[in-house]
Amino acid sequence: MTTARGLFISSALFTGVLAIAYWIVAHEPAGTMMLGFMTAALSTVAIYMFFAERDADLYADRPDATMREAAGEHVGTFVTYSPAPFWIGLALSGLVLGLVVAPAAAGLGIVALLFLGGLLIVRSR
Amino acid sequence: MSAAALPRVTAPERHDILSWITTTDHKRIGILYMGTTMLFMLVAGLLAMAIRTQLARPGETLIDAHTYNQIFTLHGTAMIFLVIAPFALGLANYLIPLQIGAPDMAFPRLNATSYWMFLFGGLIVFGGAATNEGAAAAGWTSYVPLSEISISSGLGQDFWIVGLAMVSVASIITALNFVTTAFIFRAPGMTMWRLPIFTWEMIATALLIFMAFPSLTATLLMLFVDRRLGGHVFDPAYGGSAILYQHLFWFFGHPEVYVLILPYFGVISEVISTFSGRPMFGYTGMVLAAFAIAGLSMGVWAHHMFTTGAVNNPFFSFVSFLIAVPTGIKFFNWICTMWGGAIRYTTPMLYAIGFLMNFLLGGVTGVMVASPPVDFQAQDSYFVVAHFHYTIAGGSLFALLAAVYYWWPKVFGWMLDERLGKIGFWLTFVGFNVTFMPMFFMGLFGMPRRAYTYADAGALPALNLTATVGSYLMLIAALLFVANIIVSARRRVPAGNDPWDANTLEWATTSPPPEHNFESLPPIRSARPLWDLKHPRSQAVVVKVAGAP
Repeated sequence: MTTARGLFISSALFTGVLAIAYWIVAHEPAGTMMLGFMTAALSTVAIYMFFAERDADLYADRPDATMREAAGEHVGTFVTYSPAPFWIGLALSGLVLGLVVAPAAAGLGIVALLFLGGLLIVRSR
Repeated sequence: MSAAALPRVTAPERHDILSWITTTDHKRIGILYMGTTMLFMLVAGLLAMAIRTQLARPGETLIDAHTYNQIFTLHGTAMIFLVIAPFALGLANYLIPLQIGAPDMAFPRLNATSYWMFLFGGLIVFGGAATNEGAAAAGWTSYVPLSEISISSGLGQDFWIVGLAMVSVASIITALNFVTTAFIFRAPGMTMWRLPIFTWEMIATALLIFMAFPSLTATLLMLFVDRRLGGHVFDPAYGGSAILYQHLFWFFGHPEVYVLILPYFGVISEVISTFSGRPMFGYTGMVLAAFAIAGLSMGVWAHHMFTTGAVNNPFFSFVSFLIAVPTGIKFFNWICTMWGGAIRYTTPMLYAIGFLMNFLLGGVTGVMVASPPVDFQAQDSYFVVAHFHYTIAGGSLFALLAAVYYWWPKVFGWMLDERLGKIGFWLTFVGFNVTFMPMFFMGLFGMPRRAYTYADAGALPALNLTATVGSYLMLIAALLFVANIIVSARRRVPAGNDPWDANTLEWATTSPPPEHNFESLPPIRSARPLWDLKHPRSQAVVVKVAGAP
């Protein structure tokens, strides 16, 4: 994770320097604010990675790691089908179209999202 | 968590329509993304043909002016937001887990959600055409006050706003997925500095999306508030600012140009390396150049605003010039990779070489308009249209076609016809240059962009007719591409696992790959694990030399 951490730290430093340079040269608030927000966002991730992921130990980061030693005892599973994504997309479409065309459609979108949330809660029990 | 543990699939693979709607498999989502973008490209391409047909002769009245505005707005919006960028996202969806030896993306459900949001968002944008006053007509930039309700009162503009907002959020979600997957899900031994160049370019692209797309989403939200909820964010009469819209839009808009091109730099790197029979020259330089381009692109947004008089032109001009340096490094490395290599002129390689030639012209004219004195002459003229199309159509689109021909055998398990592919390339290459080269001169002769018609004077009629002829050549090439798919699908020449003798991990599995991607993974000891596998003696020599005193 060293490289990944360095990526965010260097990006945050770069945008920070850019924001300061831009303010000194241009005295323009909109761009400075946007660059400042960007620095803050990148710094948040960088700080998280610096402290929380400091001891992360991935087999992928070891140049000589083998499949055998990384496999362990547990074989993972993953789900290849889910109705939720399609439903969320449809519900969000209803929501945004409702904002434009008719509040009733927005209501339908919200109902659909609530229904989906309820369904997921029931299924996860 | 171990990325190496080959996962157990919870249900057998299905092939019915419902299985495609509910799929969370990154490969299927990638295919859905790419298939959808191809359909959007078909529509956007036909819109471009309507534009060129209208402009074939001066004073043409084939389309009325308002419809013409809608057509170029939809064409630009679709090509930028719904074709070039999302195709790359689809390709990366398909390839990143395969290239890093992972069974799937980090967040499969989120991945599928982003696709459906993209699809429905795109359909909403096009759906605006079905409203009373038609689709949005304020251009793909939708500058205020043109896009404010006082001028664009139709629902089509609102459809454009909310549809693109969905596409924007979908892109951010996808970027999150890419970065997490590439950081966490790599196979044992696949260190960051062994990642394929394409995956690196997608990490840089994802970072750009993180930084730039929130600005687009916020801008669209503010525009919607102005239009529908009585806001005055961009209305100078109430203390708002129209220039603020341009700042916010281009803070997204220029990095977006690199979101459109960085993934395709990755495609070109993979194709050139494979068909030159050599590893990528200057691997580290290529990676650092990608991040240099991404970083610098965040500091150039206002070079689109030179002529407003409201920005610091020297600052933005200087940073814009700087971007040419890492881009030049990439060109240097591509040429050095080919230099002395055993080049195979396959269809993907031809498109890659076409990319280099077109993008060079697009890049050099980009450096020209990064100079404020030149930009004051070229602003809002066809010169800028030509420059932009040389980078995005001549660059990204050629690389997109290279990617289609290169990875098609892996995705579907059968080859596309090489002869038809090569004829298609030459038609596309000639058609593209015949279409867009005259536009540089149109611009220099003063023809404004987005013009509905023009005067029958000087060289403009001849130049426009030439451009239209070129566009029809490209249409023939597109039809030939469709014919190639149909013919090749009937023949179904088996591809095998590794038809191009490539180096990266996706070619180590079957074509098409199983649902869990790999039955087994080769040891990963370099950036070219498949090459190592195919040449064990060479690897042994390398290890011995490296370890020798």
